[in-house]
Amino acid sequence: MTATLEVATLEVQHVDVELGGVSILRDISFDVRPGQTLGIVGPNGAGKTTILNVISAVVPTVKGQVLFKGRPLGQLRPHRVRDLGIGRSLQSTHYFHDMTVLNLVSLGSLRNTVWGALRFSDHRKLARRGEPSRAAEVLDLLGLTHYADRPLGELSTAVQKLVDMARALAVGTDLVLLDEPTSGVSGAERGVVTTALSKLRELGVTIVLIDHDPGFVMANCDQLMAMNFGEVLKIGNPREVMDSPEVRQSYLGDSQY
Amino acid sequence: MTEQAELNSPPALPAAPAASDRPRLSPRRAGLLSPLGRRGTPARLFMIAALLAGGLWAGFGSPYINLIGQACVIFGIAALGQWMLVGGAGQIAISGGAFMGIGAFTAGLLANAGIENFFVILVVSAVVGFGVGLLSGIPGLRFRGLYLLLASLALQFIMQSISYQVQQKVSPAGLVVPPLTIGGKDFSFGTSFYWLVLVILVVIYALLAGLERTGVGVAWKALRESEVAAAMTGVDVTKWKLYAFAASGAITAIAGTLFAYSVGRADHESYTILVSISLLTMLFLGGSGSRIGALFGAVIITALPYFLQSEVSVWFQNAGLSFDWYTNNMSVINAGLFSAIFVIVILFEPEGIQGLLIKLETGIRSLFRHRSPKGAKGVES
Repeated sequence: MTATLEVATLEVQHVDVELGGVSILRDISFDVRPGQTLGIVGPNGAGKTTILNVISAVVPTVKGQVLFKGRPLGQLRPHRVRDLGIGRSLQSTHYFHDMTVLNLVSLGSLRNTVWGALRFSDHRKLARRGEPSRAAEVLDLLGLTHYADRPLGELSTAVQKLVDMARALAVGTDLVLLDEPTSGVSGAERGVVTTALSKLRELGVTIVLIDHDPGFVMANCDQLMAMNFGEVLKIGNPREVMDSPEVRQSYLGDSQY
Repeated sequence: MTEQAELNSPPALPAAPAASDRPRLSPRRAGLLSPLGRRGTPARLFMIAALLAGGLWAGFGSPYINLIGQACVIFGIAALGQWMLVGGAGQIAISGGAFMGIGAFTAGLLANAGIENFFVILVVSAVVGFGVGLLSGIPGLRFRGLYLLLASLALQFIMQSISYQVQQKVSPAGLVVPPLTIGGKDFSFGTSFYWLVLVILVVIYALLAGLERTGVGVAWKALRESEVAAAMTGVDVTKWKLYAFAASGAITAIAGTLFAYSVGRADHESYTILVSISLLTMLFLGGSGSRIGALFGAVIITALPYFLQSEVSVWFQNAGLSFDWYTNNMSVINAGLFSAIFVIVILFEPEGIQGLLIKLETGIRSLFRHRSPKGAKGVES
């Protein structure tokens, strides 16, 4: 058990979030160890996506802090968080339909300086120069290489989700935040997403996974956190968390339990 | 590692190929089936060919056609400047006229101060346009959509007011811009001026096309799609937005400088809100999504008043009707006409002429599909 001696990749400490005077998250604390997957489940409006928004610095905290590899993220802007090696997938696939898969996945390597951006080049150029390209590797890993030049809008939702995951992975050398990778994906195609996710886990990628389907999350995480109304109900072993009465109650309601 | 991945991927991702067989084959299939190529290509080629033909016509045609060509090219550059912001980076602004005015007045003031080198004037105009563009982007950091539009409207009126004051102080009849000479050679009017501005247009077009392929273009594209999503994917929204405003300002200012050269002076009355509206009309008429559409719209909107004046007036005279109502109220009627075109385009064909052409192309394509026996074989379903 060397893991316990290591610095946690991500530590969220007593985070409170308010949006427009409404309390969204209250006293959220958890940590994710390197190579582990933390799953977060909860009904709609529980604050799952807000947690990811806090980590990726899109939403400010009222209280508490987020530590990445032991260093507080503080008031970094979203693209600076990305620069640290935190990748994030998006809940919605409504964006970037005009962009090619490769461009999208390469976004992660886009440097936010004029010179850096001008030198930004696709993986073919890099290959010609014999330089490694993380975008190409990631596409290869997820079996997306032959989609490289296709606009995202032409692909099925499942593939779009995979591309988004690839984009997050291309950036997220140290941490990948997955926001509902199966939303909008039909039953038959879910296997694709599950397979991709297990590949990521085999590689030892540290992941925070959110999904509206508790079964999917439970089957694909090392630690599970159940939430409701902006608070943590329970955190720990997936099986135990799902079996605990308060979690079941939050999902099924009083009458049915 | 790669081998392993290749071995693994087909069984590991069973649903992926099945889910995507159709879209994956479609471009190739379309390419095999019809000589028309990918969707949108014939429409683009048609627009490029029409622009080239028009460009050559203006270059070798009568002085009158040449004059129209000059105006078309100059407004084409301005439209490209606006396209960069509206079509390229997904922002909205109604201050194109102001930026053209900035270019024109920079040229006028420099000439007034004794600096007459064309390249110096052009570069300084671009730099001033860049700087003011950067400043005009600051409201864009806080506002979006309608509010941003209003902020840019404010800029338009501020510039109008400043240029009026400057003009009253320096030279009430307009700031004189000297005839354009490069190394002692005269480029001030006629075909020589036309070819010069055309070269500048082509250079700017090529630069924009090149830029779109770099990370800058990718960042702007991401910005256009969604600012929040772009930020989450690691795009520095603030920076790239400001650069979009600045670059757009620089290009539009260059167009303003050239326009001042073409009329020989900088007059505040030439750069009103009407110019800004007509610039936006150009974008939406041509198809705001593409550079070529912006150019196409610029040519149509710029040439339209000339066409009304020289051709339609003849029709009216032949029919025994008076056309004075138009010639006497030209600027007002044109403004109304452009606004009407703007509204009609937005209502009925938001993709503009390019959208119409693509629809036409799709129709022709479907004819091809049905008639080609080879194609029928190729389609599996």
